[in-house]
Amino acid sequence: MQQQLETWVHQAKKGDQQAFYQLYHQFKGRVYAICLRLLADRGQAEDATQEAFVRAWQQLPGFRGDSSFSTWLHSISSRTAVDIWRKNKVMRLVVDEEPEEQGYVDAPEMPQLEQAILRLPSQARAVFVLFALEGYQHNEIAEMLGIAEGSSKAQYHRARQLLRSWVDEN
Amino acid sequence: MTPSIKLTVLMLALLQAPAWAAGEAIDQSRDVTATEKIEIENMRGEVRIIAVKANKFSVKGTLDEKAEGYDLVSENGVTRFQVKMPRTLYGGWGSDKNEGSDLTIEVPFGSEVKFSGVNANVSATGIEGGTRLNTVNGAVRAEKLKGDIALETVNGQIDSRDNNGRLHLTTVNGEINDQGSAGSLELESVNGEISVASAATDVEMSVVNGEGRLELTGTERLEFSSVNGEISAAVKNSKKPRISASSVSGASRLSLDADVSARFELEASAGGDIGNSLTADKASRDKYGPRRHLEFTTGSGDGNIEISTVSGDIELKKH
Amino acid sequence: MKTEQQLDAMISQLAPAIEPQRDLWPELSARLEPRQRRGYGSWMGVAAAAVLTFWFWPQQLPTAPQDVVTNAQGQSMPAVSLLDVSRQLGLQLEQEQTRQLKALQQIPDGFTDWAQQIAIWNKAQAQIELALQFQPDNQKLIQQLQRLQQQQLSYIAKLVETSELT
Repeated sequence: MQQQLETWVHQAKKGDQQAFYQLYHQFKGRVYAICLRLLADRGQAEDATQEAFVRAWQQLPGFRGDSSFSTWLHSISSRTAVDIWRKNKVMRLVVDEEPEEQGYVDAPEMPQLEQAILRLPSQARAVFVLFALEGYQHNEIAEMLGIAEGSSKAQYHRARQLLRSWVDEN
Repeated sequence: MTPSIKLTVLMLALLQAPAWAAGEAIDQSRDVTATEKIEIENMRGEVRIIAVKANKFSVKGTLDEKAEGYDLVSENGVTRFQVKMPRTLYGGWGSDKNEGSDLTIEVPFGSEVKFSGVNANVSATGIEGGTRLNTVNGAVRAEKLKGDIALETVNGQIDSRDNNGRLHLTTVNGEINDQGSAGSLELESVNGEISVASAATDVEMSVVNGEGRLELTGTERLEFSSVNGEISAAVKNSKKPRISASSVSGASRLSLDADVSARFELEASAGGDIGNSLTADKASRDKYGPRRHLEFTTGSGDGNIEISTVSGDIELKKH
Repeated sequence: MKTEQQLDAMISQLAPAIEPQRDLWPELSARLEPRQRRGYGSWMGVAAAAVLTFWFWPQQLPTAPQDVVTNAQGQSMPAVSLLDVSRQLGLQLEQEQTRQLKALQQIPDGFTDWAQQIAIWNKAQAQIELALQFQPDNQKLIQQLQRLQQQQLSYIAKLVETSELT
């Protein structure tokens, strides 16, 4: 598998779109998962997924293989999703006094915890996803989201509290 | 009656009621629902709105001298009372404080009341279904209200006493005094002092040029911001508060319970001093430049306290 | 209420991947620029990275208001920061209201000092913008700025509304 991946990356770097398609096919679920959980909106998650892969394509020539492709793509995906999350935050603050509105994702086919995550308030959800699922540290999250590290920790605890109470009531 | 007494009575009557100064008298009363939605519009003068036990709406007093009558309509649980003023091209009818209506209005306890005026002072007591008092030049007083409460003026003072609910107090030029409130409290003033003694659990305050003084008990979340004003806040009986403060050049002074359990992050980026007598932690200074920074945790770090300023001072202490 | 351990167990069982409900490839592939000479390719990568940086970490307020980068499609576009977006919207709203203000024939009582009042807000906003140069990522300062804009807009709206009544 690893060999196969390396070949695809090598080819895609040179401009082979078929090879890039293989990479896309391999990782789209992973990328979409990050985007959907962070943004809690299918349409935006789809846009974010496409955007992440477009950026990956653009930056591939600069990918030197010092980390694994998977890690590299993961970083691009997280940051792309956070870009859109931050844009949403500004729109909410300027246009609307209520910062906690989020798009509603109807997902009865998903497991309880998945649904609960999508229900979290915007900032708590972003912090939770980045820390608990995507493995970022609070200082990294603080920089990515433009908040204080203390806020990141507080939001994480708040998210856990909410999730613990929600998954029980269903 | 003897002729001399008749004359005296007549003279007294003339002295007491100079007819040219007072407007038309009004004394109206009607039954309304217990949770009536009531809208009152009176451009100038004094209006007192009092909640009573009865399911009635009544208005007594005198109308504005320049008024052209009034409208009073009740239907489908909504009552509208409006003092009708002529439209004039001359930018108002004058803001002589002695001119205007003088009204006392009674409403049911459970009603929801909206008042709107321009050169008007308004006061409200006891309304429990929600209240919105809005004036441009004038003072707003509110006491013992419940529910969603919005008090707004542009030039004038806001006095809020023993109100309980979701309070939103706004003025541009004027003071805000809030005593004894509970629930959640949002205060905004541009030029003017804000002075609060409250048990609200959620408090947000913003002032541009003006001081803010907050004495809070049991408050769990506090957010305050100022541009050039100094803000001092004492938060008592709150072990895990979430406090977020931001100022540009004003000083921020915060006093907390000695056994508060929280993560602290304080930052002054351009010359402000950070003083801490809550714990022994001292601010560190950037090697180059005027930035000062202090981060520490007390207890189990349950709460969260962030204060940032540009050139103001930050002072943190215990009560 | 589940315990912390129970929650952790549920987290570890979350699926690592979620399939999108529709095929995203067709639109995506249309956006993939063909790879040209190697040198050009890496320059595009650098430009794309520059866009990401400006968009994502507004570490300094753009000193030249029209800082420009070129995207992968070869088009010039202004470098945009978080602050710019909210400023843009604020300005548009303000322009609309100032237009309404100028159309008034008479300023109503209580608002005769409106110009000084607006000047107070402008001064405060300028102070915050200056402060943002020291702390560009300070969300609270950005929120303060937006709150001031909001106050100013409400004030003008009230002025216009009152003048329509009198």
